Amino acid sequence: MTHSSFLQDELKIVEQIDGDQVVLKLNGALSVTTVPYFRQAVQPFIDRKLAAIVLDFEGVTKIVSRGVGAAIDMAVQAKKQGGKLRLENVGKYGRSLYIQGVHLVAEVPELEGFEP
Amino acid sequence: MSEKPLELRISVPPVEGIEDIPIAAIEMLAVKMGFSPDAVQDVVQALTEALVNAILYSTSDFDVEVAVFAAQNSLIVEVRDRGSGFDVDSVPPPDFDLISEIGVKNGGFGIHMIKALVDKVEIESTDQGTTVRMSKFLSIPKTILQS
Repeated sequence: MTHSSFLQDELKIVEQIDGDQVVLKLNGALSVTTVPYFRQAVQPFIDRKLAAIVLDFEGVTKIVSRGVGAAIDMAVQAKKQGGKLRLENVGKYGRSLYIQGVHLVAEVPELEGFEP
Repeated sequence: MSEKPLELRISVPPVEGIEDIPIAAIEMLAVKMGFSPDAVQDVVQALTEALVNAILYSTSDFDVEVAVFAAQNSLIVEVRDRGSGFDVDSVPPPDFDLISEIGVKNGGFGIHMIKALVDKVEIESTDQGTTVRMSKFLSIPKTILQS
């Protein structure tokens, strides 16, 4: 694989802290390129042992399994710290998240009662 | 229009991010064929996984080749790379109990995802490259591209 600056995926994360909870609005692609940044951006909130970390997927334009794997890892870490990870506005990505078992470790309101 | 399947070929260099181009074309084709929005998304997601892997594991500058065969009731997409290949049987299904305990440190479950999203998957892999062939079937056939 080679790199191309003008084709490279981008991800921006905007944080909104509200008491013991943070909402992280994801805008862009959750891809191989952006997963390291995704992990790096969320990790401080896991380490702070917040009660809830909310990932808002409304602005997500693409996901790959590595990105979903990273979200699973964050959910497991948050749970071990006594907190929880919640995914909101997953929309069309719900089925892919379900297949990878995200709902088993994180709260995903849209997947409650989901039948693939 | 002929009953012969429509054949489309797209070659892309193994460059990060370029997968969006063939995916957009095939997404539009699936829409025009009459697949439901959920089924279109299944094709898009499976193709994303296959193309990202093909580009990521390419060990040369050879193009990744995408071949599409669209018939009245089926869409078949082949993704071929010239990477060093992998042992298809060595990829286990995800162990969700273990994952719930230790998380996912690297990678994901792309092959598992592809198998779950399309109706049929065939994978051929040698040290000369890998071909992933994915088939999605229309439950109610529509005469393609006539709308």
